[in-house]
Amino acid sequence: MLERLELLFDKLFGPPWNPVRQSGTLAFFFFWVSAVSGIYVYILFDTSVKGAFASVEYMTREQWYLGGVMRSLHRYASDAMVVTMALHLLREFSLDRYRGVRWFSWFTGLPVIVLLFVSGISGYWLVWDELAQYVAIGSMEWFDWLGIFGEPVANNFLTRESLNDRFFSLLVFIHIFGPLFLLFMMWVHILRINGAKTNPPRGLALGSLAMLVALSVAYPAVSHAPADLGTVPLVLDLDWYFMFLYPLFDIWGPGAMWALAFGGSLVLCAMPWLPPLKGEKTATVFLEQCNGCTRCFDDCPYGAIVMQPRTDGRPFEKEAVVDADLCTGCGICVGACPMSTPFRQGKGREGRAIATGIDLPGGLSLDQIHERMANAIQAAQPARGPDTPGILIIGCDHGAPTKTFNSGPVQSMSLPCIGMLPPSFIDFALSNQRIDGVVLTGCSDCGCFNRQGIQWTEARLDGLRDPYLRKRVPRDRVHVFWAGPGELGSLGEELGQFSSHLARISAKTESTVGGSKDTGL
Amino acid sequence: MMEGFDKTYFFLLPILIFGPLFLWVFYNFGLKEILKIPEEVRRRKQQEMTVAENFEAERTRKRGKGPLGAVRGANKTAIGLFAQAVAYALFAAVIGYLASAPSYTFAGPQTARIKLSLSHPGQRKEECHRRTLKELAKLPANMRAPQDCPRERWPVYVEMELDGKVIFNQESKPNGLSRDGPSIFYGTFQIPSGSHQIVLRLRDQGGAGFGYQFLRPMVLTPGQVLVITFDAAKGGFNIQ
Repeated sequence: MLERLELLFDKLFGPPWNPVRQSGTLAFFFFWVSAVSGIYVYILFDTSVKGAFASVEYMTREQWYLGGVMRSLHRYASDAMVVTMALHLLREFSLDRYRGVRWFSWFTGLPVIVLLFVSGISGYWLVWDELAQYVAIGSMEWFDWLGIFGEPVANNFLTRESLNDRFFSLLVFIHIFGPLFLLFMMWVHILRINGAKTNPPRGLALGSLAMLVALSVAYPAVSHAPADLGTVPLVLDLDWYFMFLYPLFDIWGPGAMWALAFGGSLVLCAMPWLPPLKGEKTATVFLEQCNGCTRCFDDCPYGAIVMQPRTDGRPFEKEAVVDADLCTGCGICVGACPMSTPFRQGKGREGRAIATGIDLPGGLSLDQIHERMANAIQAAQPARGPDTPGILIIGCDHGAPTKTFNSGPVQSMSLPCIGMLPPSFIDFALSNQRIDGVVLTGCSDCGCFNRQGIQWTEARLDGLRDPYLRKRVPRDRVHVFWAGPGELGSLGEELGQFSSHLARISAKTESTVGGSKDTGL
Repeated sequence: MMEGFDKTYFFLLPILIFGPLFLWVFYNFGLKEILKIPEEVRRRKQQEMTVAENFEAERTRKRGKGPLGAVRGANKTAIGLFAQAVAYALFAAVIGYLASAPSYTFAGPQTARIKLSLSHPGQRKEECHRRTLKELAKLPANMRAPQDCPRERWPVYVEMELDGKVIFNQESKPNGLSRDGPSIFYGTFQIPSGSHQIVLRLRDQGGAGFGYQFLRPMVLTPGQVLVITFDAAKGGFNIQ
C-alpha cells in the first residue's frame, strides 16, 4: 500500500519531491518550523500559573496576525512531525531497512519517538486551559503509578491552591529541554548514515511551509476554557496526534498503559534481531589489488570503509579497511573500485578470475556478476536479429523484478544494488557487439534502497564520478530507467521504445558497416 | 561480620549495580559512535556532503537529456503544481482536523469526581528501648546512642464507603528501604453528582480497629472535584 502511495506521489510531485520518500527530511523540517515558531511564542509567553493562559489568549486573539499564526504553526508543525515520523518508520519497516547493521538507526529512533511525545505533550500543559489540566493530571497519575516519587506528583494539581509558579516553571523547562534532547537524539539517529540528508528539497520545503501557514491562518489553534482544578473538564478537543493514548488511559488505567508502553518499546527495540534474520555478506578488501585510491571509501553510503596506513609494505600511503559492523553488503564499493573490470581477466589470485581491490566473496562476487552477464548475453543470442535487438537489462534486487522480461533477445540480471555495477561491465557488454543495448534499472527514481546507488551510477555514466563509463561506449545504446517493484508496466513501455530505437540505429549502422555477432565470451 | 554496617550506605548498592550498566549501555549505544569518528573521517564526511550537494545540482541540470527522455525530475508543470496544491490541502485538512477533533467526552454532564490523596506514616512497630552497657560496648564509639529506636512502621489501611458501598480499600506499606516513611494513597473516582453519604476509615497500627473515622453527607454539583486529604495533626480527614 505504501509503495502504491509512493508511486502516486511520484506522479503528483515527481520523484525528487515525493513527500513519502522525504518523510525523514520532512520530520526534520517540521522540527525546525516548530522550534522557530516556539521561540517566538516563548517571547510572548508568561511562565506563571495565573499569567500563562492570558498570555496565550493575547497572542491568539490580540496578536492573531503574528503571535496567533506562530502558535498555530508551532502546533501544526509538531503534529505534522508526528505524521511524517510515523510514515518514515512504516516506510523503513516495509523496506526491511532496520535489520543487520541498520539496527543502530532503528534502535535510536525509539528515543526520538519518546522525546517527540514528551516535547509535544509538555507543550500542551503550558497553555493551562482545561485540556492542559486533563493532560497534565493524566500524565502525572501515569508516572505516579510507578511509585518512584515518594509523594504523588499529581498532588501538585489537587486543588486550586496546589499548583504554584515554581512547579509551573518546571513544566516550562521540560518543554524546553525535551526538544533539545530530541534534537540531540535526532543527530544520534543519523550518526551512522554517511552523508545523511536532513533537509527536504527546497520546493517541497516551501510547499510544506506554505501549507502550514495557510492552515494556521484559516484554522488557527485556540485554547479551551481556563483550567480550574476545582472542576472536571467534561468535553475535550484532543490533539489526537499526541493524545491518542489518553482515552485508553482513562479506560485501562496506568498499569495497563505502562505494560503497553514498555511492551511496545521492547518489541520495537528487539525488531532488528527478530527472525527471519538475514546474514549479510560483507565486503572484503584484497590488498594486492588495492592502491588506496579511496573511491570505495568515498562511495560507501554507510561509512563502512575507512582508510588506514598501509600494512603490507607496498608503496602506497593508505589501504581500505571494511568495518564489518557497518557493512550491509550492498556492493557499491565493488562498483567504485577502478580494478573491477572484466577486461582484465585471469590475473586474480585466490581463485578469482577478475582481480579487484574489493569484492563480495561471500555474496555476489565480481566473477559471479561476470558469469551472470555472460549467461544473459548468451541466452539473448538465438533470438537476436535486425528487428529484434538483443537487450541486457541490469536491475537490482530491490527494484522492479526484471526477470519478468526474460524472453528471446531480452535477458536480464540482478545485483544487490545497481551501484555495484562497475561501468566497465557496460562497456564490456556492448563491445564487440556482444549485445545491442543495455538497460540499467534499479529502485524507483530517488528511492534507492541503499540511498546512493542510483546517484553514483548516474554520476559514473555522466562522467561526473570515478570510475567513469568510457567515452567510447555508445551512449545511445545505454538506457537508464529507474523503476520500483510496482513500475513494471512503465519499464515494459520503456523497453519497447528502447528496442525500436536500437533497431533503428542498428539498421543505419548495418547499411554502412557490415555487423558481426561474435560475442567472444 | 556485618556488625556495625550502617544501612544508610545501602543507597550505594543500586549505584554500584546500575551505574556501570548504564555507562555500558550509554557507551555502546551512542558514545562509542561519537568517540569513534576520527577527525579525518569527519572531514571527509563533510566533503562528501558538499560533493553530494553539488552533484545533485548537476544531476538536476542534466535531467531530461537521456536518449529517450526517460529520466524524471520534480513535477513543475501547471497540472502537477495544481495536483500538489490539492495534496497539500488534503494533508492540511487531516492535520487541522485531528489536531482538535473529534471531541472526547471525559466525563458526563451529571458526574462529579472524588480525589483521594493521603500521605500518613503508620505508628512505629516497636517502642524505643534504652540500650544496656553491653549493647553500647558492641557499637563503634561514635554510634553509641543511649536509645535504640527501630524505624519500621505499620502499614496504613484506608477504606472509603460511598452510600453504604465500599469503593476503595487499600493497605499501603510505608515508603523507604527501612519501611519508616509515610504510606501513600492516591485514587480518583467518578460518581454521579447529587447527595451522597461518605464514610472514611483509617488504621495506622496493627489490630482490627480504626484510629480515624469520618462520616459526612455531601452534595456534589455536576463537574465538581471533591478532594479528600489527611492530616493527623489537624484531627484526621479533611475534605475540600
